[in-house]
Amino acid sequence: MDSEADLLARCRLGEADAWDELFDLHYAAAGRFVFQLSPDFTHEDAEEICQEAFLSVVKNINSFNGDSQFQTWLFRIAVNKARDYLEKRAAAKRGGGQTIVSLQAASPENGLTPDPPANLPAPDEFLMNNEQSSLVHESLSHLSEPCREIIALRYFGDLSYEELSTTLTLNPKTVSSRLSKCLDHLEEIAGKIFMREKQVFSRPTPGQ
Amino acid sequence: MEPERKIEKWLRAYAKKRRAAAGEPSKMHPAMRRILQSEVARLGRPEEKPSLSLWQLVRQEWAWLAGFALVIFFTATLFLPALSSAKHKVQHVTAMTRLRLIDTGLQLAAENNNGKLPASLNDLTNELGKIPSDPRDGKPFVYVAGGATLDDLQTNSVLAYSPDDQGGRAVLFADGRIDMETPAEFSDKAKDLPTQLALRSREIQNAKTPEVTTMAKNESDLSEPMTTLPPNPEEPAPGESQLMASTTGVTTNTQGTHFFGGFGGVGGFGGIPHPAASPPRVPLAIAANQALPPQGQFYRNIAQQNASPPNSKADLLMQSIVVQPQAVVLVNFQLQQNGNALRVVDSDGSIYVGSILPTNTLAQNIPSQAENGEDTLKPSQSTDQSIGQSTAGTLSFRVTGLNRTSQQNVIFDGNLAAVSTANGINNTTFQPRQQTARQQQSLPPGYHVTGNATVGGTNQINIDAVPVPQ
Repeated sequence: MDSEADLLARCRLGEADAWDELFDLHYAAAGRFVFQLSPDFTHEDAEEICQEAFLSVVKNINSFNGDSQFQTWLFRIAVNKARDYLEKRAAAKRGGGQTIVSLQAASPENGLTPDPPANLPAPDEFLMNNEQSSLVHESLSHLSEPCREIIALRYFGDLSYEELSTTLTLNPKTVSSRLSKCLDHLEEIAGKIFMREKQVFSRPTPGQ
Repeated sequence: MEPERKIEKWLRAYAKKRRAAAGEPSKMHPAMRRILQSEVARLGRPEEKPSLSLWQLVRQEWAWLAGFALVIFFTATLFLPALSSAKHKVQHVTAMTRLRLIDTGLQLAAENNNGKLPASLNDLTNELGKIPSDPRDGKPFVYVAGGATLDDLQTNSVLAYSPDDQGGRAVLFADGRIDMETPAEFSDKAKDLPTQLALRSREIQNAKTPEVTTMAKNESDLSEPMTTLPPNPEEPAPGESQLMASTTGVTTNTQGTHFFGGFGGVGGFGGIPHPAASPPRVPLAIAANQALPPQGQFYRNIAQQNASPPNSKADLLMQSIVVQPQAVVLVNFQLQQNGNALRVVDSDGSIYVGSILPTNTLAQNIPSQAENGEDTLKPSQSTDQSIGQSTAGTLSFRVTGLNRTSQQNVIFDGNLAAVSTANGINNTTFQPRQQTARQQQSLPPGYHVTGNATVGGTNQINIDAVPVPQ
């Protein structure tokens, strides 16, 4: 079996077999990694993000200098593609590029008024939000992009400090201190969200 | 190692849960693989254009090349004739303008010389700056009116014309008119001209060379060959070549008449007897002897060379110390004659003009030389002999003018004496006393010039000049 460097060299020469081998090696890990980046991601979302990430790899394979692991480089691309995907979907939810439909007007075909799904979590999701995963995801969404990237690579991609240092082109000590500060910030955000949720659920209902 | 923080535990728990939710590792969908492979195929193999040889390129692009060549051909076909035509028009206009310049120069020269035209275009150098030439071939215009009197010319008399027929000739007529004549028109004009029109100008030029040669042959004891003046570059007119061939090396025409172009007094067009030409007004003494060339004769003053050598070392020392920035006047000069008019062109370009003096004036000039006490001449002897020779071979003249270098007026009173033993004229009177036999032998035939020049009214210069080759 070829080493990663040889495989990448063949890929640079445009060998289709090499590319197939590269896809097979890293697609599953990339999909699993992308799936962790947001609890809202479905398998289809992860596949779409992975496709964009691998297309970017094909186009920019010559810019990969081999200083880090290929998978580390792929994960970082995937983080950026996932962020773009979330922003695009958020923009679509805000109405960009979609036809505005009146909720009060009856359909001329059947005379019924539309009943679109609410943006609020479904009942079962609502129960999950009470769990830690939902709390963590919401806290992560309030973090800055550099902090979100380094935390995702560290805890979802399982990268070591050295790999983070190479991928982010940072000093290992800088990686450690930046990660510590980002965790502090995340902890602070999570604490606020937890207190808010606790107040919501501890507030007595009007009938009590 | 630091204990794991609570937020880290939450993160790991979240990751574990999402991985579990992701299920079994999925494989890449074939559609996605095809998309990625097509992108690989598009980007992975850069297209290499095979290098083409010039012949292959020509074979592939022959249509374009042929079209380009056709465009160039048609463009050249359209524009080149127009450019050529415009060039010919400009050359014709320039030729006529230059002939007009000659006409102006002739008018000025004639006014200064009692209406007589200069013997050759060379004599117009001062008026024209330089001799204008036909712009189409660079050859000088053919000047055929040398020596004629302006008032005696007919209005349709040709004064000058373009040397070569290039679809027409620019012709200058005596009334100042300049026409572009076709070959047929020019032939008609040539028929109207006195016979052998253009031949005359050639014969004028030929006349001086054989004449000098004849003199050299007469003096068989000369050890050095005589200098032959260069022929006139003017081109003959159509039909004159045969006549020219018959006159090669001979100074006579079919009637046996001698031509002396420098004097121009034989009238008509350049020396041929012309019905409208004035009779010659050259003194018989000169005409019977020999002529100055039309472009003049060059002289060198040997009086200074024959001056007494310094007698002492003190004289040499003074000569070496006292350096006077004095203008060189009449050391080397050119003498030009047109009828009675004389012109002396000094080596610095200064021009002194004057005329040949009447005979009675000659007697007054000679004593003035004697009063100067010059050793070069023998005043008492020369006076008698000069007066005696005034009808035999000596003429007196006076020319004046401004010396360019010193910006002082120059008055040159001189005598012309023939230097020849073949014609019986005694020239020993004017021989420099210290001239060697070798120098006497090497003197070209011509006129010996002696006299006095006064520069700035005070400085007297003794002139004893002998002809020298140009």
